[in-house]
This record gives sequence, C-alpha cells and structure tokens, in this order.
Amino acid sequence: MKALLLLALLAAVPSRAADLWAPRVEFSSFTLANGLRVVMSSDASVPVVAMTMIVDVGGRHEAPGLSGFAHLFEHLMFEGSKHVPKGGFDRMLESYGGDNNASTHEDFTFYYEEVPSNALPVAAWLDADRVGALSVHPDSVKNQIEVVKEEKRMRVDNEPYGPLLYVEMASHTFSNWQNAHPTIGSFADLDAASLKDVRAFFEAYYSPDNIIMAIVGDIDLDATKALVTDYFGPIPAKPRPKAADTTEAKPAGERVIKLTDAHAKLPALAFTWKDAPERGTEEYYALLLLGKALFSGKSARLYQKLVKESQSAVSLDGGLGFPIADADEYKAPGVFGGFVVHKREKAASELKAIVEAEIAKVAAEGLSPAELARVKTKFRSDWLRGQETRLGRAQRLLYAALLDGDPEAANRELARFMAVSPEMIRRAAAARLVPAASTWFMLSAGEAL
Amino acid sequence: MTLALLLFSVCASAADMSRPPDVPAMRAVKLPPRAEWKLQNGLTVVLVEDRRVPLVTARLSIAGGESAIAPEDAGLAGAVAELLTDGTAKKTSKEIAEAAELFGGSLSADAEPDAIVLRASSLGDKAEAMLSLLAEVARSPSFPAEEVALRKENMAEELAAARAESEFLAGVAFYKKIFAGHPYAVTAPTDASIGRLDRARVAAAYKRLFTPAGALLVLVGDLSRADAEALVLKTFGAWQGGPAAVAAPPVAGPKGERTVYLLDRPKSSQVSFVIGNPAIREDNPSYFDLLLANQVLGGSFSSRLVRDIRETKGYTYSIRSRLEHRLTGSLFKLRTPVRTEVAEPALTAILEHLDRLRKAEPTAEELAQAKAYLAGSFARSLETQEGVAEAVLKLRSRRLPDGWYDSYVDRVQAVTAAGARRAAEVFIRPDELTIVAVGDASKARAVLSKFTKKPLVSVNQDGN
Repeated sequence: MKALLLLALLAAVPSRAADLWAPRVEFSSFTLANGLRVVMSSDASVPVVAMTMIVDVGGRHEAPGLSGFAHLFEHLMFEGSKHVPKGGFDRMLESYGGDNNASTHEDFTFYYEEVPSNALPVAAWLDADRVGALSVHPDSVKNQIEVVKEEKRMRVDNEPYGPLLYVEMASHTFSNWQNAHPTIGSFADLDAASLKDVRAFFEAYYSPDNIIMAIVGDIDLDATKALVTDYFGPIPAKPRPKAADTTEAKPAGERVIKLTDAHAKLPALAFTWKDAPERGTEEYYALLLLGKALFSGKSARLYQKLVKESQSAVSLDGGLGFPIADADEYKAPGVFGGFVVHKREKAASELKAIVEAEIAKVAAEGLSPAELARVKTKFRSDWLRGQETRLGRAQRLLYAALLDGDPEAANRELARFMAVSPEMIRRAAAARLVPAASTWFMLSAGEAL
Repeated sequence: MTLALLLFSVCASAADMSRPPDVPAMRAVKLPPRAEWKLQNGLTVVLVEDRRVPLVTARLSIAGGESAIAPEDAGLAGAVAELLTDGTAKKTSKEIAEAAELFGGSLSADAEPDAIVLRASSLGDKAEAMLSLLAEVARSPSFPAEEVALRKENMAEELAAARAESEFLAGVAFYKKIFAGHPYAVTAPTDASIGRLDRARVAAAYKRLFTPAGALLVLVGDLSRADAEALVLKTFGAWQGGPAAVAAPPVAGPKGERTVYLLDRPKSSQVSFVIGNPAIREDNPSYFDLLLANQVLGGSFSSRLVRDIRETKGYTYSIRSRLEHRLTGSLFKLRTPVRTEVAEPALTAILEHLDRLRKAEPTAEELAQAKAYLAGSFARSLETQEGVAEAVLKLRSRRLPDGWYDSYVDRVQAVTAAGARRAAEVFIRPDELTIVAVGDASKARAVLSKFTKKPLVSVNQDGN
C-alpha cells in the first residue's frame, strides 16, 4: 500500500485555488563519495520507473576539429560495456519491457531508460556498467560514424530547411566557434574521429562527479539508494579538462544573410537576436513567455499578423532559444529566434517589416494584461502536462539540477513565470530584441522537382 | 563464523557486475475502469476518472473521415476539420483560440481515414469551458467565406512544402498503390482537388458527416461521473443530426506480383523506401502471432532490422516495421531511408529478413524480449491522460471487443514461436509486396529494377 504523494496533495487542495497552485514534485537527493549526485522521486500510480542521467558535456564542450563528437559519443554509449556485448544494452532492456534513448544538446547529454518498476535494478546495472567500464571497439566506432552520418543526411542534408535550422542560423549568429558550430558535426570531423579521441573523451567527461542521475516512479526510496550506491559507488572519479570558453562577443549590428535550399519548395524568413539573457533572470522568464505570445498557437500575435491579416505566411515557429535549444534547456549565451515559411509571391522584406513592427510595438507597450493572463494560463497547463510522465518529471529535475544548480528550482519555476508582468516583458523586449543584435536569414526555395 | 559474516557483508555492498540482477515479475497493468453511457441523440460517452494531474482530456470522434470523401475532393475532410476552429455563429477564429488558452488547454481537429477527431484538453477546474467550446465548434461552425478562401490558399502552399519531403511523397504513393481503387488510397490533396474546394463543398461535407449518431466522446481526467453526465447533457444534449456515415468497404487481401514504384527526386542523397502488404485486423485470431513476428522483425530498437541494417551495416539511421490499421483494412508496413549508394544491398537485406522470419521460428530469447517490450510499452502508454484517451478511442472506434485491452498482456504472453513464424509466413508476402522508393532516379532506377519481374513503374508526386 504505497501512498501516492501527488494524489494526496491534489486531494488536499481546494479547486478554487487551482489558478495559483502547482503540484510540487517531492524528491530526495544524495551524493556518493565519488561525486555522483542522485535525485529520487516516488509515484506508484503506474508500475513504471524513469531512470535518467544528465552528463555535463555537450556540443559546446567540443574542441575544434572534433565537431559532432559529443553526439557520436552518445551513440557509442549503447555499443557495449565490460559485461554487456554490442547490442546487449537494448536487447536486455527490451527483454524486461523497457525503452531507452538519449539526446545530445549544446550544453549537456541526456540518457534515459523507462522500465517496468520491477526491472529498475537491471537498468541500474546496465548504466553502471557503461559509465564504469565502457568498451570501445574500432568496429563500433566505424559503424556509428556511418549511422551518425545517416542521421545528418536524414535530419539536415536531405530535409527542407534542415541546413538553415541546424547549421546556418547558429553559425551566422554566434562568433565564438564553441557556440557557432553544429552539434551534429561535419562529415570531415566525424570521419577523422579516432579510437584514441573516443577513449580520451570518455576519460575526460564520463566521470561520476560530472553526472547527475534522477530516478522517478514506482520506487522504494531506501532500496533505490542502496541499489545506486552498490552499483555506482565503486566507480572512481576522474579529472576533467577546463571547461571551454563560450563567451560571445557583443552584437555588432544588424545583418541579412541570403541562402538557397535545394529541397525547400517555399521560401522562408528566419531571424535571431543574440545576447539573450541568462537563465533564471527576470528577462529570461519574460522573454520565454513573450515567445509564446508571439509564436504559439492561432491566437499568437505573429500568427495573426503573418498568417491571418497579411496572409503572407504558411507556418511559423520561434521563441527563446530557438532554433539552438528548447526553451527549457536554455543556457546563455543564447538567442531569441523565429522561422517563418511564406508564400512564394510574398517578399521576405515585407515579412521582415511586419515582424520588426510587432517587436517594436511590444518594446513600446508590452502585452495587454488580458493577453498575458491567457498566455500564462496556457503555459501553466502545458507545464503541468509536461510533468505527467515520470520521464518528464525526471528531466525537469535534472535540467534544474544542472542548469540552475538545484533540483528544487524545478518546483520554484512556475511561480517565477506566473510573476511576469506586462512591464517586465516590455523592458526585456526593449533591452534585448534590438535591431543591432539581429540577424535575418532570407531563404529562397531551390528548383522545383 | 566471523570470517563468513565478513565475507558476506563485503559481497553485499559491492554489487556483482558480472551478470544482470534477478528481478521479480512485472506488476500487472490494465486499462483503467471506464463508465459508458449514451445520449438520446445517439452520442456515446466514455469516462475514465483520472485524478493523477489536475487536467481533463477529451476526444470527440465523428464517424466518416477521409475515406467518406470522393477522391476528386481529396483533402476536403482535412479542410472541414481545420475550419471547425476558424469560426462559429458566435466566435471568430481568434476568439476560439483565445477561449482555448483561457481554459488552459488546446483544441484541434484532424481528419483521419475513418473519422474526424477533435482533441481538447483543459485544466481540471475548467472542464465546462472546454466542453462548451468543443460542442460549439462541432455543432455550429460557420465556415466564414474569407477563412475558407485562406484555408484553400494555404492548403496549396502546404502541399507544395510537403512535396519537398521524401517521406511525404513516399507515403502518398504507397497508400495510392497498396489501396488502389479503395477510398483509403487517397491520403493527400492534389492541385486539382484543392482547386475544387469552396465553401459550399465544405458546408455540405460537414452537414453530411457531423451528427451525434455514431459519434464518440471520450473524457479522461479530474471529473466525477455525475459532473460529466451533467456537463455532457448541457453541451451536447440538444445536438441533432442524420444517420452516421457508413464504414468504408473492406480492403482486399494481397494480390498480384511484387511491384516496385519509383518517384524521381533529383539530387536526393537518400532513397526513402516504404514497403508493405495488406494484413489483418486486431480482432483476427492470428493478430497477436503476427504482432510478435513483426516485433521481432522491426518493432523496436533491438529488433533484427535495426540491429542489422543500422547497427551492423550502417545503411540507415532509421528503420522500422509495423502493423497499421484502418477500420476495414490493415497493413504490414516497413519504412526506411537509406543512402543512395546502398539502396540495392539494403533492399536485398530487408527481403532476406522477411524470408528468414517466414522460414525459421524466432529464438526463445527474441520472443521473450518482444513480449516483454510490448507489455512494458502498454504500461508506459497509460502514464498520461492522452495515452488513456487514445487507447479508449482506439478500442471503440475500431470496434474491438470491450475486453481487448484487458486481455492484451495475456494474449501477447500466450504467443508461441511456431505461431509467430506461421503468422509471418501467411501474412507477410515478399512476392506480393508493394515497394515504393523515392530517390534520384538516375542513380536508383537500374538497381531497383532488379527487384521486380515486371517493369519498374514510375510514379508522380500524387502517387499516380
């Protein structure tokens, strides 16, 4: 008879207070002697556990000549370890009904397993074996270089707007190579990756004190702590190189970049403002909500202006972090960006003028209180939905632990968003979304099929 | 004695890494209990009380989707669905979007092969506002002339944009060929069908399809039965309409020789394959046998296709096979984009895998793993309100037996290696496959011709 903390809390809250209230994710945490930090949260409503790890290494940590390395390495983490043969990781997890994946970001690498709760010890064993004793075979490296190149072909090279969104926008927005190069890497750098590079990367970054783990779901806290201690305790910590310098030069004036895309059928206008604020500041919360007000859904300002009123655009996306990072994983140096696919007969300069006018309006007047209230209500509901799954909760705790320095920041976050005022949005837009910090990308569609 | 105890404690604190730990069996999992009732106008309502988060999730499914529309009007069902939220007797498009934001949720509609499905969600204490808006857009859309004109214009642009994507082109051609002559063959509009679209056709299609008879409302969330009954009666009780659209005719089984269709996409760095043949419904006695066979073949990351084509050969980033269902027809379907230079060895290897699945039983390990994966996936799908809502929607709209999900895990567990092989042999038909390839024809034509006894067939961007 395990009590479900979330349910108990929900029952205790009167519904009239629902506007102000968000369910806390109750958690406890501990740190092993080797520096591994662990966050645990219990919820037995379905017999599922998310076992997740965030490693403090991403595309921005890569050295010149090794672009794409953090991501290639993420692939190699599934290729076998001392007691698990190649292919054994997925086979083993699936044989207990589990699923897994990983993703490489600008600032970190994220791994997860979602398993029926009985199989948590198996997931812990698999993760401990690969973090403690990864095996790197030359054949695996060769094979995964090919797989990553296929991934690049599929997501970037063969996809309309892929080169713009995954490569060009960052490379023209940022001036420091650490921020400007694509996390997916280049074929030349990937082909040049050696076994020695791979081993060195593992030794440098996959140390217990560079990893935070979150285990969320149908778990017993004491037993889980003992399990993690047994499996991960013996793994020694290793020294790390100094973190790469990601400092960005101040914006140096508005720029317009013209591009063509052989696979695109419709032209597009994209834009970024660099020098976006630090995570956790008032401007960060304000610009994140402004992004929703401008881009998200049919009531959004730019949707109304571009799709409905001027009837010049077909679709749009954007906000804080776009397209470099999702808003929740945002870390400075960052951008505020947008991407608009538009009709063939409309000029990009017309759309640019509409976007500029709308930004100027926000910088002068902010949002209306009713508009901001609506955006907040929607944001709050989406935020709650993001917390429905064990994986969603684990991810939120880990992002807070790594990017805000404290998992409890995940529980404070919603209140910070709800405290944003129209004036804060006006100030943030006036300070950050200035012409001098902007880069505009005018993309014309390649020849017809 | 002391020594033994000491040894024991050392062993207990340093875990044995040499093999995976022993663990107990998975906890049982079932679709949560649901309450069901019917309004006098014919609308069926299913409620799952779910108080894990303070949210409510709704699905309203109207019988008759894309397949209830004449082929020359392809895309009309999608236009009707999209335009539902673009104006009612009382609200503009913008006001509808704002109302949805105010109940902290979303409201959208999609045309699917057999139904138009409206999906909505709200904060738990705003269920009434959500159901009111859901009822308003379903019952009294106004289809403003300027919104219809804009939709028509944007459909043309969206179609042009979608045609830039290999996956889209491959899908259009695949369904066009495998369902040839059947209403399910049409999955995308054409320039001509968009040209025919006007307000009168949109309004007529709406009037014909939208009726409470045969419609299904699924509610999952922080809502009691009494509240749900009262709210549904208030918002949908007075809805009236004609008879429900009839189901699409049954799809014929596999027939004829294997055929390869090629759509030229100059400069494409990959060849995108979609491959398949007609298969069986979820209530067929052999369904679970075939489900397990497919799972072993290409249903997950450690399936044979991923291990071999991606992880050993490095031909692709993504390869997957699945069983796909319509109300009156089902498919075995496999898709993968591979780099152009390896199109021939990749297709050869794929066909060898189909052959092996039909000739030799899967190993006990493969079968056990596939079973566990399916059972675990089912448990994971019930984590969210959306997952529960989609499961209920599938159960009812596919007209599956009421206990289908309740016995799902047991029936997965009961499949034998011999049963899985036999199902593969009967229902996966390498000699009768429809193979669609989208890629650079100057490089792919000659090699793909080797896979068919008939001449290779060129298709255009509409799959014709």
